[in-house]
Amino acid sequence: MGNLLILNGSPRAPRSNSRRYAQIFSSCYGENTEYFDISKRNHPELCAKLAGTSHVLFVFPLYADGLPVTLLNFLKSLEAAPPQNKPAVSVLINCGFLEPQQNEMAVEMMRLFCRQNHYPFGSVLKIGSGEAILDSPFRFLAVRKIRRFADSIAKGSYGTFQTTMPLPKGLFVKAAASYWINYGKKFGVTKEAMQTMQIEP
Amino acid sequence: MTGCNPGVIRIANAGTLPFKFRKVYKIVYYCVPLSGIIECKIQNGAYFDMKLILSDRPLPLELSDHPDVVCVDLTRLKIANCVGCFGCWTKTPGRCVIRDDAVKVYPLIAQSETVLYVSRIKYGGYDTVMKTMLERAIPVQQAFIRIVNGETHHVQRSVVPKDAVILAYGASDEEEQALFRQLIARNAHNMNFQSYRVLFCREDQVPDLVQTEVAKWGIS
Ligand SMILES: Cc1cc2nc3c(=O)[nH]c(=O)nc-3n(C[C@H](O)[C@H](O)[C@H](O)COP(=O)(O)O)c2cc1C
Repeated sequence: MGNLLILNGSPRAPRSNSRRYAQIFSSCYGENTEYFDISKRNHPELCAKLAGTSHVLFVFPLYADGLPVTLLNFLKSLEAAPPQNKPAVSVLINCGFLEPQQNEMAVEMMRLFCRQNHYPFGSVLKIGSGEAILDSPFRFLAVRKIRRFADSIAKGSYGTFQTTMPLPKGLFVKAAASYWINYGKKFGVTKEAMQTMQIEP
Repeated sequence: MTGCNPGVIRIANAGTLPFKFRKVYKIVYYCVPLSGIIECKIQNGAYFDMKLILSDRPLPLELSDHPDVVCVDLTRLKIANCVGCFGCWTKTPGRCVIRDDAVKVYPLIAQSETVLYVSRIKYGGYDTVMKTMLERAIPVQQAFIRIVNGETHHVQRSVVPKDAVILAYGASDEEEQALFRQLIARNAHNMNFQSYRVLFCREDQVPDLVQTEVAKWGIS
């Protein structure tokens, strides 16, 4: 186990769920971690950080079934300026939908990046209902899985983990509706207004 | 854009069009590549199948005789990254809060029955130019969730079901192609594809393959 670098690939990194997952990870991981948000301007700095670490954890959301552009662009920068010693890469991804398996394509993209660029691959944690789980009674499930995920990285016994809210899909649909209705209320926007069928009305 | 026919109603952009309007009026879109501005014209007539080509590289196509086809060269548009604010679901539903060229494109995606997406592949997914646009297209969905094929997905706004062809170039090997195919199968649920085909080629083959595809639409 050595030092671990956490890079947040969410476009809203400072206010992201990914950041909260990263914080829980840091508190579970035995050794020091260093955390950075990926931004448009800090690619060279982060590429240099990567050169001095033995393990890098990418935390990010699923965007349109794939990697968010923020992360994709960073990976391209890293490909162009690779470190001499390649750290192992682990992935903590969260998505809005209930099924953690919906993250699978993005995880495969990370694996492909690692294969193409010769980075050892570490552990994976896929979180479903990632927008809501931390503020739900099921937060403990996420924390528990993050702890197991962190242990697997610390011990070098890599594995794939997943978690989500243990709700029937119909109930999740209802819970999501009230989550978004409350979200809209903050802006004075009603459920009916949010349900508009018009695009660019 | 200049040169609109007399009697043609001009509206600022396609997205202002109520969905049911489409059934009554004929909609003709033009993309003005230089300014990156898309203009919509409405003519009396029957509803017809709108076709959209969305490309991450310029395409040598002559489409002036085909008003039902719009070709958008994304490299000529100014499109910022989605910032994940969910404003398009919760603050100004159906409208992105970033008022750049993307807001002219996602209504076109929503209204097209046939789409041809041309994109470079990177790490088994769309490369930056196309992916940036697709991320900015989430105003076409609602925040609310429904169950599709046993999985949770968003409710769509007025998004016409689509026959999609994805022309992907620059894949490094078959493994990358296989991953991209799986991605499109997943996208189909979220992007309302009723059918799709994925084609792979080298970059230099793109113009010919695009010609072959649009020939199937009766464009030579
Ligand atoms: C542009 C965009 C695309 C998204 N695409 C998906 C998707 O394909 N599947 C999904 O389950 N969630 C999707 N989401 C939801 C996010 O993954 C989810 O809200 C996540 O919790 C955001 O994490 P973050 O706060 O760390 O950025 C999308 C969100 C945005 C803004």
